[in-house]
This record gives sequence, structure tokens and C-alpha cells, in this order.
Amino acid sequence: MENIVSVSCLKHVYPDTTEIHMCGLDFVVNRGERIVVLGGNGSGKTTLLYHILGLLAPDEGRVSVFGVNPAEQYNAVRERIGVLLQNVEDQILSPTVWDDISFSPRNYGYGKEEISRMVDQVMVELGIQHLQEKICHYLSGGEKRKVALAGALVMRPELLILDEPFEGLDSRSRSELVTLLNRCNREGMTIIMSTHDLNLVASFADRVYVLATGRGVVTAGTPAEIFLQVEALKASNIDPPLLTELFLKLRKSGVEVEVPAHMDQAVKDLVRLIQD
Amino acid sequence: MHIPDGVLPVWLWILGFVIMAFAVVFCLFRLKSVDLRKYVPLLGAVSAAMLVAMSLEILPIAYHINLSVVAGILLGPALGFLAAFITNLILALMGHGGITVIGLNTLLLGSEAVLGHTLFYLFKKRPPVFWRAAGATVLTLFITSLALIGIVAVSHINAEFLLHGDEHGSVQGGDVTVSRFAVMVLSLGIVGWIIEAFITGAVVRFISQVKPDLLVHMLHKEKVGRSKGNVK
Amino acid sequence: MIDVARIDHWAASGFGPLHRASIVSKIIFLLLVVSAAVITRNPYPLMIGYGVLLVVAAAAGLPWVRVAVLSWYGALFALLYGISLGGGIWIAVLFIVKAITPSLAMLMLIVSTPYPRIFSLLSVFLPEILAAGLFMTYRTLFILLDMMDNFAAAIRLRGGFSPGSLYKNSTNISRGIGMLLVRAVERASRLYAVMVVRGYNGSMAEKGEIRLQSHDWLPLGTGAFVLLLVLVWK
Repeated sequence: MENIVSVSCLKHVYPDTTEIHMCGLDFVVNRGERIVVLGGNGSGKTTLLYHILGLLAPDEGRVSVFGVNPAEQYNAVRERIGVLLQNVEDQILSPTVWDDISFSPRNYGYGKEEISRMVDQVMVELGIQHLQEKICHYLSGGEKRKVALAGALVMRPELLILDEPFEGLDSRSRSELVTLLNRCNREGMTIIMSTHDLNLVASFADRVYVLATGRGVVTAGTPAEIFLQVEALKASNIDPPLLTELFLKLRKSGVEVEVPAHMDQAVKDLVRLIQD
Repeated sequence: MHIPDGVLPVWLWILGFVIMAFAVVFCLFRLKSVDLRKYVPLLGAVSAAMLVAMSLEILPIAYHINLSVVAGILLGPALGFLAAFITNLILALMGHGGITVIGLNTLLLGSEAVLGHTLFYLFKKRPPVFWRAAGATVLTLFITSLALIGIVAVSHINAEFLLHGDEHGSVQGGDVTVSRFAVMVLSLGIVGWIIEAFITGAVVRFISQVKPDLLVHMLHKEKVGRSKGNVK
Repeated sequence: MIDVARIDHWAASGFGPLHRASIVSKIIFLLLVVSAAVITRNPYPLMIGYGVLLVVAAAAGLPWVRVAVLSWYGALFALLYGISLGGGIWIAVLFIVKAITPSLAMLMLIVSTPYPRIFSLLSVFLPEILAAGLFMTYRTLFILLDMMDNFAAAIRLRGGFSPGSLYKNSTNISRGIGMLLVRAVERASRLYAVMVVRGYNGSMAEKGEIRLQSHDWLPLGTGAFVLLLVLVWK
């Protein structure tokens, strides 16, 4: 598998002298994977993502994206990376929806017709054609997030980075976003997402990296493997999924049961238990 | 200045546009060693803040501040002048002020940014920052008020000229009317200068307490290459 | 300050002939009316011109009453200016119509044309930094207005505003403006990072096109009529 992102032993000092040390496990992303970065507030999720985007340069450690150091050679890779930030107000730059979605292709020098085709396509995919001439400021929070996502997807990036994309979304919007991201992944997009919502991880992630404040990556694995590491999760200020806690308590009580990673498996196990 | 279209002589407002254009070119020349794209968001932020400030009424006398001196302090003289142009253009496009006086208005507002910056940093660190900013504001507004009076004097506006043009052979100098206008501007202006000075001083003092690095002129620290960020 | 949100709403939601006319024709219309105001020394033709503009605004489905009221914003200054110069009632009347007529034309432009489209046309002529600055100012203005509204609400709820207390109000407003500026500047540095990531290379929005179209007869005809009236009726 092609390694497209790797981060090892990162240390960064902010202008106000705050230090971030992330010298645990290496952070590695292979092409085509869906990676979730879990961690509590202040654990360094956003710092990690900003180093991958080349917006921050490490004081120590190594960051490689598509084989280059993004802090020094971001221009070499930026067309291949799309990003959705936590605060979409900071991401929407242009006054109208069409202007904002077409921002990247226009600045990369694409022709008018090509831009029009790209923007129309992504607006149809996200169901926002009716917003084309709207002024971004007057959109609802959900609409702004869709516009920001459209701006990230319009270039069909090889790597999509999302920083807490589910913040402020209702459950239906969350599941729509997960469906969309999974579809993008099936089409070949590699996805890195940071969140502290464990309940979405099972339906999305191939691999999970867990960050803890001051220690960097403390554990990594599949969602099923991560959910079992309750102590590591709690040390990172992350509550394990209710499903996991329930089944772990059942196991402690002597019931022989595997801890399921998702609801369907849990239902099967419970039905089996009840019938037995 | 809220002189509407059609009042000032054509040559004067055209001259205003010409001088403004030269001033803009000069500012861009002064900034040519800087990556201007990096300052687009900052320029937008301060220009927008000026517009927001102009929308605020200082109760109970309904005076509007314009933050031009603060813009000069934060952005420096060249970018401050460009912010004044953007602000005036948008104000004109909102129906505030005439189109033909954008040049003269920009020269006045831009001068406030330039003078405010110069005086604030001239005072160095002797008086406390509140008084440096307030003092710079009062002096700046006094000087630009004189400039406004000068514009009216230079325009030789008087009633006979406006109604009849050259038909009566000569244009009166309009000394009486200029004096009357000057008295009005200066006497009403003093109240506005004091309010603007107080608010400017308080704003700059607040910034010096919360984020003092904003007052260290960013363009003095411009370095080549990507700098470390401030993102958390 | 004129309510930008309301103007945006009118500009974006109308379907009348002025909304459908090209931006170029409406800017030419504005320049024609301004020229008329500059040239005239007789208040009568400009008064009729003002009336014609109102009729056109009403016929084109614009919010003509509101726009007419807003056009009088500059009248007070024009009146004071006229009084300060002396010369009697006719000078004052002349100044007032010179103020309100171009103002009405400008308002007709902005309530029938979204600001981003006006800026797109201006960006054809302006240097990159100024064009980008215009778009960025417009985008940021709404965010800062919201911030200021929230701050004002917070102050009011916590007893920070009192009628008649200039010192207290000024102090609190100063803190609000200071906070606004700090947040605006911090946001600006984040925005620049986003611009880099999204590949900014000088274009905030599509540049406008200089092109006339079929609905342009209304603004061009109206502007030409007002100017002609002033030229003929001296």
C-alpha cells in the first residue's frame, strides 16, 4: 500500500511559547484509507492536521505528504489536498456560493468551461444547486458546511482532510455526511478526519489513531481494537461508546460475549444471548 | 465629509481623483517588497471594522466614529491609506456620500490613517498608550479639518457662482462663506475630536493589554518564507 | 448605516427589468445622473429628473418608497452646507436636489444589483490588492456586524448601556470595538492560511463582463433622459 502521509515525533512551539509534543506512535496513512484521529480537547488533533497541511512547520520531527515536506513544498501538493475546517466561517472566502466553490479551480488557472463543469458537478452531488447565486453569509449553518465541503471536493482531491466535520450537525446531517464521505472513499479518495465523537467511528474508519495531551499518538488500530482499549480512551478524555461499555460490563459479569464494533453486530449478539 | 455630488467644482474633484490615484500608486510602490496577498484578509478586516464603527451611534448625541487613526496604527500608513479607499468606495456604494467626492474623501480619511500612524509612533513610549493614541487622534482630526476647510476655500464656492456661473463676469472669493464654514466645522468638530480621541485611546489601550503584538508594526517584521503559525 | 442585509435581499430577490439589466448599463445610468447633478445650476430639471427616477423605480418593482426615504440621507448635510454658504433658499434647494438625485440613482443600482456583481465589475479596473480587499471587506463586514450585535446584546443584558451616560457608553463601546478588532485580526491570519491551502492566486471572485444586453434600454434611457433634461433646460 502506498504511504501518502507520515508524521513522526512532532514537536511544535507556538509564538506564545506553548509546546506541543507528539512523540508517541508514528502517524501513517496509506492511499485509500479512511483514518479517524480521536482525542480530547487540547490533545493536538488540529495541530497534527495543520502540520499535514503545511500551515505549521515542526520544530522537531518529520512530516511527509505525497513524499514532500508540506511546510516547505506545499505548492507541489496542494492541488491534491482538500480541506474542511472546523469553523466553516473561516473557510468560506468569497461572497457568493458559486464564487466560493469555484475559488480553487479559478486560482489554479482552470478554464471557464472546465470550472463551470466542476462546480456544477459538485453542487449536484451535494444537492446545493439552488444556492448557486446566494450570498454565503445568509446561509444556514448546514448550508454553509455543504458549501465549504463543495469547495473542498471541487478539485477531486486525492486526500481530503476534515477537522471536526460533525460539530453542530443534527443526526440526519451527520449520517448524510458519512454516506457522502464513504462514497468519495470508494471512488479512491483518502480521508483523514479528526473528531471526538466515537459513535461515528465504527461506521466510517478503517483505522483510528488516538491522541492524548502531551503524548501524541498513544494507540492505533481498527475501531474494534480501539474500542476495547477503554483505559487508553479514558486517559485521552474520550468516553468509550455506550455499546462497548455495555458489553464489557456483560463480560465482567461472566457473560461470554464479544465486544461488537457496531450496532448490527450488537443486535446479533444480543439475539443469540437471549435465544440461548 | 458628506458633501454631495454636484457641489464642488469639477476641476477640484477630478484633481481629488488624480491625487488619490497617485497616492494609491505610491502606496503600492511602497509595499512592493511585501507579499501583499498575505495582507488581503487583514485589509478586509480593518476596512470592515471601520465600516462597522461608522454604523455605531455614540449615544446620546448620535456621533459616528470612523477608526481611521486605529487603522493607521494597525496597518501602517500605506495599507491604512488603501483601507481608507476601500472603505470610502463601499460607503459611496451604500449611498453614503457622493461618487464624485470619493477621491477627496479618500484623501481626507487616508490622511487621517497616515497622520495617526505617524503621530502615534512619533510619541514613542513616553506617554501611556491611551494618551498617545488620543493625542494622535486629536491632532490628526484637527489637521484634516483644516484640510477640509482648505478644500472649501480653494473651491471658491459662493452662491452667485453656483447659480449663474461666469455670466456675471467674475467669481467672488467667498471669504465670508469660508469663514462661516470654518467656524461651523471647527466648533462642532471639537466635540467629535474629543469623542473620537477617547474611543481611539480606549481601543488602542485595550489592544495593548489583550494583544500587544498587533501594535508592533507588522510590516516592520516582514520576513521572507513561511513563518510559524499561531494555530491551535 | 444603511442596512446592508436588507439591500442584499432586495438586490438578490427581484426580477424586474432593472434587476435583469446588465451591471454596465446601470453604472452608465448612475454616471449619467451624476453628470446631470454636476452640470445643472437650475433645480427644476433635476427635480423632474428625481421624479422620473422614482417612477422608473416603482415601475421596475423596486422598493421605491424605502429607497426614496434613504435618498434623503444626504439632504441634511446639503441643506447645512447651503445655509453656511449663504445665498438664500434657492441655493439650499439646488444643493438638496444635487444631493438626493444621484443618491437615488445609486440606491436604484444597489437594490437591483448584488454587491458581489458590482465588485466583480470593479475588479476589472482595480489593482489586485484593492479588488481582493473589496471582496474580503464585504465578506468580513457581515461577520463583524454579527459580532458587534452579539457584544451589544451582552452589554445590554449585563447593564452596560445607560441612556445619557456618554462616558459609560463610550467606554463599553470602546471595549467592544477593541474586541472586534482583535478577533478580526486573528481571523484574518486564519483566513490567510485558508487562502493558501485553497490555492489563492489573486482571484477572490469571477471578474465581471463588460457587455450590454436587451434589458439595458431602461437604465440607459432613463439616465440619458435626465441628463438631456438638464442640458436643454438651463
